[in-house]
Amino acid sequence: MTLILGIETSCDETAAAVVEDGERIRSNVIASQVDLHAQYGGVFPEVASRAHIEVISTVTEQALTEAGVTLDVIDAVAVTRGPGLSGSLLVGVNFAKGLALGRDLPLIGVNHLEGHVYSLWLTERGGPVQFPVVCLIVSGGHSEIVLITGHGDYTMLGSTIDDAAGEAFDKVARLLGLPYPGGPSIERAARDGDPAAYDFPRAMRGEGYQFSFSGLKTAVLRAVQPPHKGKRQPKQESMHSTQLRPDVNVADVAASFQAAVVDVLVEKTIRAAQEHNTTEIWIAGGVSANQALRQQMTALSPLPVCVPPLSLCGDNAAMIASAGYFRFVRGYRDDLDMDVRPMWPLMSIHDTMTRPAAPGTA
Amino acid sequence: MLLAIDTATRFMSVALYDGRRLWFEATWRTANNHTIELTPTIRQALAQAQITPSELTGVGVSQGPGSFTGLRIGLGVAKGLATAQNIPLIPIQTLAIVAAAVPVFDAHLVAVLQAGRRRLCAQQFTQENTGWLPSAPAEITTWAKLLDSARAGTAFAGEINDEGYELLAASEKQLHAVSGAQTLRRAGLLAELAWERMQAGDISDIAAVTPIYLHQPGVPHP
Repeated sequence: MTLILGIETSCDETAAAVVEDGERIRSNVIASQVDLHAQYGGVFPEVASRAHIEVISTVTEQALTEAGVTLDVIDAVAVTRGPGLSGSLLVGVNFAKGLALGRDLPLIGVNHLEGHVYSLWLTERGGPVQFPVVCLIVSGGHSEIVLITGHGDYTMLGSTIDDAAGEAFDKVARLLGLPYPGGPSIERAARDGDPAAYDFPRAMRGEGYQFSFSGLKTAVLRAVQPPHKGKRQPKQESMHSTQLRPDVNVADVAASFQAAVVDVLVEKTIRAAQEHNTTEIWIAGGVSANQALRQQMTALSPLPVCVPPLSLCGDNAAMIASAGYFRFVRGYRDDLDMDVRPMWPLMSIHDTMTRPAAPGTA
Repeated sequence: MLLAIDTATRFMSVALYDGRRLWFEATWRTANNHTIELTPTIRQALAQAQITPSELTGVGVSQGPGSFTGLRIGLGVAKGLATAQNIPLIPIQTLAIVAAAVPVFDAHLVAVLQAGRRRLCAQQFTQENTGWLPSAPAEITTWAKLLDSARAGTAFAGEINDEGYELLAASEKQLHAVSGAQTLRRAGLLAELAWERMQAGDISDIAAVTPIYLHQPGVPHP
């Protein structure tokens, strides 16, 4: 039995978890900062970093306690090295280094996107995974279509050229005066709305696997804010204004916006799966909690669609521990001089293992 | 054996101290590579002193003021080590470490750090028996304001930049800078301060230790 302690602080959740053999969650503790950031309508990086350093040790102790273990039986420490907010990543990485050094444990830096992929390994399923599969990773920071041909073997098929899908949800929620985080707010508001009320653009539809959500956000802005007469006053029409035209039906806007995002995500992911002959479609990341996305993907996909339980959609450390386990058993180790990688693209393990571990570093 | 860690500014330092002797000490200026350099240096310190992490009895850490990111790097590693060995974590204020390096004399002392954007973080100390005691809280200021309010004969210690040396030399208040070697923020001195606190039973809960920031996010800089 191999036990990995996972630590995740890439954005606004401080998380620690213990995972057994890469697939069985022994504990999964998440301290969310969502209330701290709500007043800003998004994640305030310095506020996030401060909160991480305050709770990191408590969250880790709690993960060990809930798993019923001590550091004595932990085999390695896996920590999110990137991508993410630099100041936030630094807290988790340095705390993990202190733990690894203090207990002479192997240190494994994990890519946050790879972590999201491994949330599917923690999800109950009928039979073993048959590669290749295609995974749509959608969150506040990412919108990626990834082809997975084996453990640690990835090909990035497409990503966003501007805003991430979850970022668009947050920004449109702000325009509509809905609370942060935008994903759940829009989804709630959209329940009573007509998804065909507004014909919002489906950008880059039919071309490749790239996404663009910036224009969609502006289209929503144009549809809901009062038209300006003459010279535009500062902040009169902008992402900072929540002034709405009197005839705007928030539920209809939310439903139509959500439909536009979901249409593009579903269309491109299914096409990617078909063109690469995959066995399944996976969805991971915070936006994978969106019911409209789950339902439409399942309804339209000719292939089985797998999504993590809601508890594993958002950022968590169990997925980091799981990804860390599959790196650990393949001999991957990081040295104590490991730095954070705020802009780290998802790479196959073969590419990240080019540097051999220094002698004496477990 | 106490491990002391200071990454409050670009000058960083690591020391091992047994209550009487320093077993290891390294102080250097980093090109903002705190995360890359800190833990390998601690590993080197332990190897050099032939000590295992299980022989550590406490971790002292520079608590601030200082660079927000720098403070969190040191405190992150310190919390990780203290959690790993279940040993006390002792935070020490950064400017008290600067003052501890300066020989005691009968005058006022101002300890400074660079706070970026031509600002300083400064704190005034006065002589009290065998050491320096803070006589005011640390504050964010500038050389101009600091020298304007300084009393005649005050000594300045810490991270004095070229502008500071020039203004001190030009001042008519007999202000002077403490020599470089006596003003270096060394983890050996941090270790002594932390050891004293640990012996006195002045130990904080690991989770309760947070950096001293002197600036709140979202508030405009002065």
